[in-house]
Amino acid sequence: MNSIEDHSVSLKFEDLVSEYKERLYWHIRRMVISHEDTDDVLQNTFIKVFKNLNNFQGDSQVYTWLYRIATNETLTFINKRNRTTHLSNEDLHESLVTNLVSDPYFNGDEAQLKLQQAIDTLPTKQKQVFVMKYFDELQYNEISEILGTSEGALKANYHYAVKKITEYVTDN
Amino acid sequence: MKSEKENKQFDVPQGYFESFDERLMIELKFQQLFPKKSDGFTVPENYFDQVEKTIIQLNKPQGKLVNYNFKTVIGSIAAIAAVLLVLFYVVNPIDKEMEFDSLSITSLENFFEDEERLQDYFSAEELSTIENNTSIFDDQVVTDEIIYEYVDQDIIQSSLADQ
Repeated sequence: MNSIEDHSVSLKFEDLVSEYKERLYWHIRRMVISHEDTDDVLQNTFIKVFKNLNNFQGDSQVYTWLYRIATNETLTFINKRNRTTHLSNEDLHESLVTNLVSDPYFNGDEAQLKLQQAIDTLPTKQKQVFVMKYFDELQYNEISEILGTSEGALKANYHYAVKKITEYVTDN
Repeated sequence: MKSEKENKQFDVPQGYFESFDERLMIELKFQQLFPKKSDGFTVPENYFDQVEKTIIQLNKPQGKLVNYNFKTVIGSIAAIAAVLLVLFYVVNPIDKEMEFDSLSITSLENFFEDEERLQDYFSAEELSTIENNTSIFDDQVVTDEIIYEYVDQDIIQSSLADQ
């Protein structure tokens, strides 16, 4: 089985799955909404991790590397889904959020549903930054490493996301 | 309290203080609207235990699979055919004036293995005919024996018959 030789620590693939499956799941879920789709993306993410374990340079932290792969897999999935359904990202996300009401794996209250609807109105980049900062509680320098965006731009993205969400919820 | 002169050694982004109040108010309003940090999503019971097993199972090392696509197989066939044809002409004294001796077998192999050059020697119709009239491309693994057998039966023999 593949493993990462990270200085004195040898990380086995099984340990990575065990350690990070939940964090990566929630990271993906908040972007793709549906549990079934998240399950597919999560498995694809770890398949890619497994195939690239030997290429991991160790110049970034393991979880940053995993987040980057999960983020790329999520975007790839979303783009593919948009092409298949012939709907824009916004239209499709709106439909998914509408379906949340009857989703057996969503038990949020009215405020949480409203929050999802508000997040749904954000452009993809702002959505990513908001989810990673607010829900995943990543630091700006970590998000910067994952998304390849400057910290200043990320702070602006987050600020505009919070502003839009607040305005949406207040107006609706 | 530090004097204004002492603070001059530090700098802030342009417009920082002008926009500070607005940013603070937005953040406070957001926290009032969403006092608890939760997204409301749940997962099926025992999902994380199950998915871990599934992922480990999916990535277990398996027997090495060798995939041959159509172009690779055709390239191999063409290369083998080229080598056999060269050998045929080299041992045939009538064709000595063609000077095949000056060509290396490796060069010929490389020449025919090049996918673009392959199109020069087989038309699209011929490639389609080859593909449609043999079942060997349906197999995941094509052995050397199968290739030799195919070349021998379908190409070399017809070439020899044309001589």
